[in-house]
Amino acid sequence: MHRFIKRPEAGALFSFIVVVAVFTVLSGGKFLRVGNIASILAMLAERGLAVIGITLLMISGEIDLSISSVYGSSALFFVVLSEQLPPLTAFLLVVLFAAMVGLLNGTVTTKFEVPSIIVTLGTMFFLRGVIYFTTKGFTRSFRSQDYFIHLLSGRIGGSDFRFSIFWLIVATLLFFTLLEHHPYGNHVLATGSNREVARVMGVKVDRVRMINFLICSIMASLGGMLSAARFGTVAATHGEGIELETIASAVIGGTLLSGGYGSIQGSLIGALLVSSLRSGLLLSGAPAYWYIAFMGVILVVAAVINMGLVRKVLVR
Amino acid sequence: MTGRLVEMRGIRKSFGHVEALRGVDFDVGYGEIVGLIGDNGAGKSTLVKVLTGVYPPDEGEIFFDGKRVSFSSPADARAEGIETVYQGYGVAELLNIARNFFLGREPVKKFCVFKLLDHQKMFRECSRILSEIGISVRSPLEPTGVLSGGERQAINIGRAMYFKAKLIILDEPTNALSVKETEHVLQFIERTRQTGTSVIFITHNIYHVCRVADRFVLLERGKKIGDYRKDEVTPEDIIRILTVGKSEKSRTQDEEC
Repeated sequence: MHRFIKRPEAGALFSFIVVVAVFTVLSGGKFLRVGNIASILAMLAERGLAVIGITLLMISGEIDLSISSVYGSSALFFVVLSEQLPPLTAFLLVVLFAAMVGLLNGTVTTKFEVPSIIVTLGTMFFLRGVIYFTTKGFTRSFRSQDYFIHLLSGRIGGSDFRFSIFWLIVATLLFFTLLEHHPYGNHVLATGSNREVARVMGVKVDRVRMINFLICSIMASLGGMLSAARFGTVAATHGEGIELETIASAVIGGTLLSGGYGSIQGSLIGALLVSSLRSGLLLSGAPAYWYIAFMGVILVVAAVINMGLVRKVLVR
Repeated sequence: MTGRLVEMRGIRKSFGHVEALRGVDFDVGYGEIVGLIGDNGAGKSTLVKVLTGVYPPDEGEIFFDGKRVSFSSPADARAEGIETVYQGYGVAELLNIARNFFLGREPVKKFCVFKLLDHQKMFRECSRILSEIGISVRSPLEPTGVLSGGERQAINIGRAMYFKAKLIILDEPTNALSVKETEHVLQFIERTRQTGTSVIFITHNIYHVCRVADRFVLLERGKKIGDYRKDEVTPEDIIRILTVGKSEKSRTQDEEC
């Protein structure tokens, strides 16, 4: 038990249970209905992919603010390209585009040692500008209803649940294994904990950071395309604010902003907490935007608890 | 070859106008513990950094284990069996002890097509090393940050021995350690004799190095000013040579170090 309390995700799991209990009571049981759970999971799947990517990147000591614009532009380009091309081809082209954005962020950060928060802030503005230019401020919608799009985020059978949650589970298993059970995960943790030590121990720290920028960007892009597949429509503002919400989810889940510490499962519990909060407040009759305020409170509380845990380690 | 593990000949290195090394010859025998002594700025750290590939020398030749070498990075040198234990302990504090111990050289086990970390081996081997170096109260799963300075130093030396390093370079290993921890680290260095590992022990604390070294090399402002076997000098001689100058060396002192 004592060992569990020290794990990065312990605090988030505890808060999540509290949130579920409170909203179940406040909403008179509506919170736990199948329809509501399915809608929470649909949102979780899209945000969750981005959360996985940013978690890996944050553990290696970097940050990516451009994920909101990558999320939005990927959703948009997926819709636009699908008008001319088979959706699978469009999908692959968008992944390639996201990979290039990730490599660009990584190259500027590692080669010129510019803080990644600045580099990716620039990328965020630039891509959002491209989105506004492409859409001229209007929304774009899918014309085709291809089976591939259904496979991304269509309803499973006739149920309320969507395929997207399946993709999140696949990604979670993959990246959990990478971080906890592969030598690369050890290199990621070491790079974020103490980059100079990692370097002298033979870890190729710049390559690690570069790969993580790449992964982060691609994961945000996949999340964006899932959301496009669910809504069928993409607005110019699609994904705005996702970058901070994602980072907040990771921090609530025990991942350190300064790197070296965190877990995929913890961040996802953080994301689940955020999604539940939004849906729970809505069901309890609170105005929808209240969730932002609540998230702010939880974020700060979580960060204070996390620092308490980490300080025990670092003080010596 | 003369059967020395390390031979450095006529090493020169300048940084801008500052001549850090002005033609230094330096060697280390097999299984020998050499104390590299000098004041701050004498060129001790620069000399080992040239050896381990941190800086290329401006002039001079380096032989390691009978081969002419020019390492391009510490990782390069490490692959050939030169381990450096850095000042400031050199650990990633948030990693657990086992992950830190095997960092960059993780043991893997085949799992389907993937090579995944062999957690059992990491735990087992690391537990063994921890008990060997006398900190068996620690679990390998604890974060490295909970270890004291002396424990970190001991683990770094233990790691170098575990991976069968031919040469271990200790850069001020007893700096900022308590008396008890210093004792612990010194005892640990003496144990390298059993494995036949060579050691370069950089320090300006003459009394610490006298305990364990077989030979002393004295540097001053980028030049070698002395090279003595243990039975040739006392700690007081060394201090006198470093503070006053070479000519003052005397053999009248009774005790040797």
